Amino acid sequence: MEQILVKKGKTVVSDKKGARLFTVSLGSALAIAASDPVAHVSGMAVCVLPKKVDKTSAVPGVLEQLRELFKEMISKGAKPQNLKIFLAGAAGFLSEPDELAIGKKLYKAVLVTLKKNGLKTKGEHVGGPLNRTASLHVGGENMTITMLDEKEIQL
Amino acid sequence: MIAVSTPNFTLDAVFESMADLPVFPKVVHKALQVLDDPKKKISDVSEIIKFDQGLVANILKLTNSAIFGLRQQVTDLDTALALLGNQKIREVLVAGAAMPYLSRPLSGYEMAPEDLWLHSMSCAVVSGVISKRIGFTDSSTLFTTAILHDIGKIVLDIYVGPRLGEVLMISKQRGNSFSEAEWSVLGTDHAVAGAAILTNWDFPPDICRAVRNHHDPDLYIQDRLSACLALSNIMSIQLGFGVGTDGFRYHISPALLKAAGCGQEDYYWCMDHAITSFYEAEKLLNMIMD
Ligand SMILES: [Fe+2]
Repeated sequence: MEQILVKKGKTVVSDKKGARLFTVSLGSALAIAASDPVAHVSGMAVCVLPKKVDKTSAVPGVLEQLRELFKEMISKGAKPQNLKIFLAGAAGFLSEPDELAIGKKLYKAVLVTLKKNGLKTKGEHVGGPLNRTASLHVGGENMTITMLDEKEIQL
Repeated sequence: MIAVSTPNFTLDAVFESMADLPVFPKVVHKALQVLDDPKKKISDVSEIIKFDQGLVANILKLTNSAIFGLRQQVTDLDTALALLGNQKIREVLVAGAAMPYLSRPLSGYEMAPEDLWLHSMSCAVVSGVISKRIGFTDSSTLFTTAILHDIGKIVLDIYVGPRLGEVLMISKQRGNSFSEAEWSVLGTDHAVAGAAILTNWDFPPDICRAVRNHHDPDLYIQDRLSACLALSNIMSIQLGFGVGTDGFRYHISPALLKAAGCGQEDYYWCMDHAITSFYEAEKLLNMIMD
C-alpha cells in the first residue's frame, strides 16, 4: 500500500487505488480531509496558519489551502455533493490566551470557509490537549485518528 | 475524589541520581569562557576541545546539518569553527555536548530515543527564529536554554515511569497542568530537577532560572529570557515537533507574549519561519539514529 505523507502547510490530492494519505503529530495544526468515494478521489490539507503571513511566505493560509484542495479534487472528478469532509487536530493548551490560541483560530477559519461554500463536515475530532495523528484511505469513507494512550478513533 | 498516594519527595532522590549522571563536559564551559575573551582566538577553542573525540564528532555532525546553514560540508574541527563564527560555535558546543544526554529513551515519559532530541532541537530552532524576529541579542543563551530545558526529564524518568498513569489521571481529572500533577505525585517536577542538574553542571544562574521557570506561568513572565524560552517551547509543541506525554497539558500566561517582547504579528511570522526552518533542518532527527 502506498503511504503518502502530508506535511504541515501542504495539500495533497490523490486518486491512486489502495493509497493512504496520512499526517503525523498534528499539534495545533488542523488537518482537513475530503473524500469522494464515487469518483475515488481524496485529499488532505494540513493547515498551520489562519492567514498567509506575507507575500514571500512559503506557508499558505487556510483559504489558499482549501481552494487548492477542492480545485484539485474537482479536476480529478470529485463532485461537491459526494464529498465526505473530516477535521482533525487544532489542539490547545489547558488554558491559553486568545493571541496564542492558534488551533481555535484555524478551526474557526476552516468552518467559515466551508460554510460559505455550502459544505458540511461528516466527522470532527478537534481541540483539547491532544496530539493527534490522522489518516484516510484514498476513496475511503472514514478518517482514522490515533493519539498517545488513547483508543484509535474512526470518524 | 482521586486517591493519590503520598508524594515521594523525590527531590532528595533526584540529587542522588544526579551523582550517577556523567558530568557535562568541562571543556565546553572552558571553551565558552575563551569565546568571551576578546584576546583569545577561535583556534584556542579548538585546542581545548579537540581531545574530546565524542564531542568533536557531534560538533561536526551538527555543523554539517542544515540547521547551522553552512554551504559546504566540513570534515575537520578547525574549518568547522572558522566557518561558524562566535555565536554559532556557542550553539554547536552546547548542542554537541548535550546530544548524548538527550538521545536516551525515556520510558517513564513514554518517549522514544529520538523524541527528546527532536523536541529539544525543535525548541532551539524556534528560539533562533524568535531571536531574529524580536531582536533578542543574547540568542546563544536562549539557544542553550532551549536545548537543555527538558534535561530534568532524564533524571525524573525513572520516578515518573511507574507513576505516569497517576500523574496523567490527576492532570485530566483536576485540570491541573502536568507540572502540578508531577508535584502532587513526585514532590517535584522536571523543570526544578532540570535547574538542579544545570546548577550542578556549573551553568550560569540566568540559564538555570529560565529552565526552572519554563512551565510556570507566574515565573516565566518575570524575565525576558524565561519568557522567550517558554514561548519557544509552546510554539514547538503547537507545531507538533517532538510532543511528549506532557504535551499540551499546561496553562499559558496571558502576559507571555508581552513579557517576551513579541507582538501578535511577530508570533505568526515566527510560526511561519519555524516550519520552514524545521523542514530544512529535518535531517537532524536522523543524526542520532546513524
Ligand atoms: Fe518541559
